Amino acid sequence: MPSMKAIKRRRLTVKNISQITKAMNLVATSKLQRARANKSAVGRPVQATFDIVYNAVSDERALAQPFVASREVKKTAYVLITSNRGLCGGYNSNVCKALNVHAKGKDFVILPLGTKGRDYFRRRGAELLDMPSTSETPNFAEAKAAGDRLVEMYEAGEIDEVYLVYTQFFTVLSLEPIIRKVLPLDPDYLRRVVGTHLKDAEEWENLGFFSKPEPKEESKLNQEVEFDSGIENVLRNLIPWYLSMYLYAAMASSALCEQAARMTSMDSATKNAGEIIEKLTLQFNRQRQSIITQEITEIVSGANALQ
Amino acid sequence: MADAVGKKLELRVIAPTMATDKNPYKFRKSVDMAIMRCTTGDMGILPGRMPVSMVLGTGVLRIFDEDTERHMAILGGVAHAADDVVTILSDAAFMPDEIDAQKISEEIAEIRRLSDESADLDEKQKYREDIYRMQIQLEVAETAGK
Repeated sequence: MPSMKAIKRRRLTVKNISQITKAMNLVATSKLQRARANKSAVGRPVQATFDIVYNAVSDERALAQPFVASREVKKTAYVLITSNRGLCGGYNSNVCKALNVHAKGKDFVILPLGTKGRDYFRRRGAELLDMPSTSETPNFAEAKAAGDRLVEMYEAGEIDEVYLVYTQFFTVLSLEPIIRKVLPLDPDYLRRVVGTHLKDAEEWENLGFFSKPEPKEESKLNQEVEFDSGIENVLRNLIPWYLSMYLYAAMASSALCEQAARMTSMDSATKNAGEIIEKLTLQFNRQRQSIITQEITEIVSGANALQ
Repeated sequence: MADAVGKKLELRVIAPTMATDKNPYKFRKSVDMAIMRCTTGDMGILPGRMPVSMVLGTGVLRIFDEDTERHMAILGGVAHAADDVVTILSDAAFMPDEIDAQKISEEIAEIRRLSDESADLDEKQKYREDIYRMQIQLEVAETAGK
């Protein structure tokens, strides 16, 4: 049985930890609001970008273009979005595990955005691309740098397909790792994501960036698009935009998930600490009571012996 | 052109770095016409135009509405016009009152000095491009209050 001093010390330690987790919970709650605002700010721009890209790639001439035509896959690139800090429950490990399962049997390289994912795969000896560490709040410049790098590698033939691995936010308690192919572009996938040109029996694919749009009028569907400087040049400029915007939106979604996961895990950590404190207090009081009882018994028996 | 009479275009300028939760658009308004600097030259868009996708260079976006003409500096991007909606996606877009002309003039002088000192041709080209981007902003800044 631990001594009263040891129990007291342990109770104090748990109390200090619970104060820290409580503070972290409050900080995460406040950051969650900011992250939510950031994510909704990205919604319209990303919707407009997807719309423009869909209009371009749905043209028959686009099918033969380098970013749309699929090719034999020798090497796959994954963009992995994780956090830079821990103490956020299973947020990082869930997304890393999802990538592990998806990449089984593939020759792949990872472009990590976030140090946790980078460290996870470095320990497992995966091939990683060097990227400067990302900031906690999503930053378009960082997304653009990553997007431009992927476009360069894709054009050079170093990679043949690109997947984006991030976490999608549904509610604070419901966060899901998601893996989506971003290159080469798939017009059918884009149609499902954009949602304005859905065919019969096709369902809108909710990426969580924007709400479901109204379907377009029949007369506005399948309009021929003119490409001012040729389809190749337009796509060459549009694709880096598309990738950067997609990455930016995924970063905003992941940042929101990180704060939600941290809030939930810190909340349960605080609750658990409270339960431990209660147990330790009970243990401490019992021990104190038994000492007092023992002392009284000793005094009484001592007094009896003197009579 | 006949179709365009009485009709309006919705012009939307999106600059992701400048978007906020409450205002995701840098500029969103119904206008009569917009003229933008594309890589192939200036392109004017009127209501009723057939869908078109364009690559934008660095230049001035001229926005015509009623009897007024407004300018905006667009530092590259892409644009798409369809169904009387023109969407411009740009890394950076500035209205005249957002540009600090004094600061930009000083920066131009500093870049010119660096360019004169540099012997690297690629670096000189980059400096020239930077100066051009700033000159466009100065050009737009001059229209402030007009």
